[in-house]
Amino acid sequence: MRRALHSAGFALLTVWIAAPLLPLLIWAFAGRWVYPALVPQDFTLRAWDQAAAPQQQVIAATGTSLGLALTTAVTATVLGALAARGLVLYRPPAAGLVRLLLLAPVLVPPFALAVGVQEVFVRAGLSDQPAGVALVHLVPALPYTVLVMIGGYATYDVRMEQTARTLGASRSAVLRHVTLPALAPALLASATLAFLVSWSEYLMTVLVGGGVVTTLPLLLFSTAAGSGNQALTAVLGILTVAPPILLFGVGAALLRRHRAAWADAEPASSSSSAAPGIER
Amino acid sequence: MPPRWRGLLLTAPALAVVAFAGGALLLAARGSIADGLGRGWSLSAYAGLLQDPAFADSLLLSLKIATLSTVASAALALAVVGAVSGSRRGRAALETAARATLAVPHLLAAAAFALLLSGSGIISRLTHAAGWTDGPADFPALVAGSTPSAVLLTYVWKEAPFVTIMLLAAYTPAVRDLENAIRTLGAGRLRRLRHVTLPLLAPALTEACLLVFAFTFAAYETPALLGATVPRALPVEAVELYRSVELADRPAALALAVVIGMVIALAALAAAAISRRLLLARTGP
Repeated sequence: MRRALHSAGFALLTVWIAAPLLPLLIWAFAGRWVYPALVPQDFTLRAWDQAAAPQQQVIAATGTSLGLALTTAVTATVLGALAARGLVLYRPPAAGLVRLLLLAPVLVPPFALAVGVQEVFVRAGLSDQPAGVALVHLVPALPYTVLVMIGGYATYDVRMEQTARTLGASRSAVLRHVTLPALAPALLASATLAFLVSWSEYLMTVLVGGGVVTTLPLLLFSTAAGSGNQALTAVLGILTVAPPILLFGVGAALLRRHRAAWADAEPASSSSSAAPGIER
Repeated sequence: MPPRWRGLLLTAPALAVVAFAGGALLLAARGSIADGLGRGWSLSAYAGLLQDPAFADSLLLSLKIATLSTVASAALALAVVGAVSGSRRGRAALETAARATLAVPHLLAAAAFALLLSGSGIISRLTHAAGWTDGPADFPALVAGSTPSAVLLTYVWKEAPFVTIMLLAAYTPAVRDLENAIRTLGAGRLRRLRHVTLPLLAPALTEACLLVFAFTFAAYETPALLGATVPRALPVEAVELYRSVELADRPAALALAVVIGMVIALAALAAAAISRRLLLARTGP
């Protein structure tokens, strides 16, 4: 009875995840698939060829998306790590207020932010440029990295740094051999989240990029909204969803190895396990 | 420099980004009380909104979408977390599944649900094969219909896992110990849920609900792809106005941005009040 309940639960979870994603996989390889057929009349790679054609800009957009997401991941993680270090290790005045301010952007409506930023950029000459878009992506990514890095620093023992310094290690050696390895799980989780925020961003990219900065979500939206080309929509969808899932998988595997290696030093690092929870 | 101030200095770069965002929001608000070129002072954009029946419809629709998505996601997440609470393997499986859905961008979820739920979509084909519907027109209009069913389904699919993860993070061993304690005292499943599990998970649930409400109220992609054209969700309406070539539509679009921000600010205040009461109830005044 219990076994049956368990299997039913697992089956439900699988159906829940697969229901919207499985049709994407079929559509991506479907040639003709006229209603009411349950399976495509024929299978083809035409949509993939179409996506690879230069005039569709898919490859260029993937590059732009990757560049923006990696820039956001690195910048937001560095800023988040610095802020968390200041907040947790130094307990500055008004730490509560600063923390609240740093987390507040998670509630900011993307449309309001984008139109306001557009006003600033038009004055500063940053509109319709990748650098401007990267700056905008930083805003919604920052609360996640701050929160994750605060969690990372909560279990961090700063005396290890002082010990290494006393033993004659240089500042850069301390950073390389003490700080970064100890914070690695939190840094990885925070970079993953920031990558995901930037990678999924649509509205702010359109409004601030002015249609000049083309990312994968922009192509996906216009294909899904207007073209009626379901096969190409599915291909773009797969290209959009594969990197995040891959990233989460690789991240989880790296964390497991890291935890195994550090098992004697720190019994449980809770920072990383709570981290991806806040992504939306 | 005293170390306390050094700590503040470390937060400065991140604070600068927030200040940039805050300044941008102020400029957007300023534009809503100006003329089409961003000059002068005028409340005509807001007066125009109040006279426009489409605005009330959009506001109501967005409130409906956000409230229903939040309530449904919270209820589903609570039910699922409650169902697996006893089993460690169940919790692990649930967490993996929830994370996998979190990695899926909202836009992609919306596009995928369009393929699934449209008149000639997979579900419609299945009901046809089962003999329940006669053709695409006979299938209920989930996408772009008069009720935002496809929008709500997409949001619940994305947000219920998000709430689940927030709840699982709050579901610490201490909570489980208390549950076991009240069980040995003879409490049934429902009383356990009411007197232990819910009160202890309530702060995390409040936080998660606020984030879901704020997101679903302000998000553009899903209602733009899956919603009807009349009435349009508030963010969709705002983007359309912003792209319009009419000069007078610009302050109106910015006024909508202010309205969206106000609603979210009110929701945040309400959530803060609830959190404070929850804390008081637990610790006493």
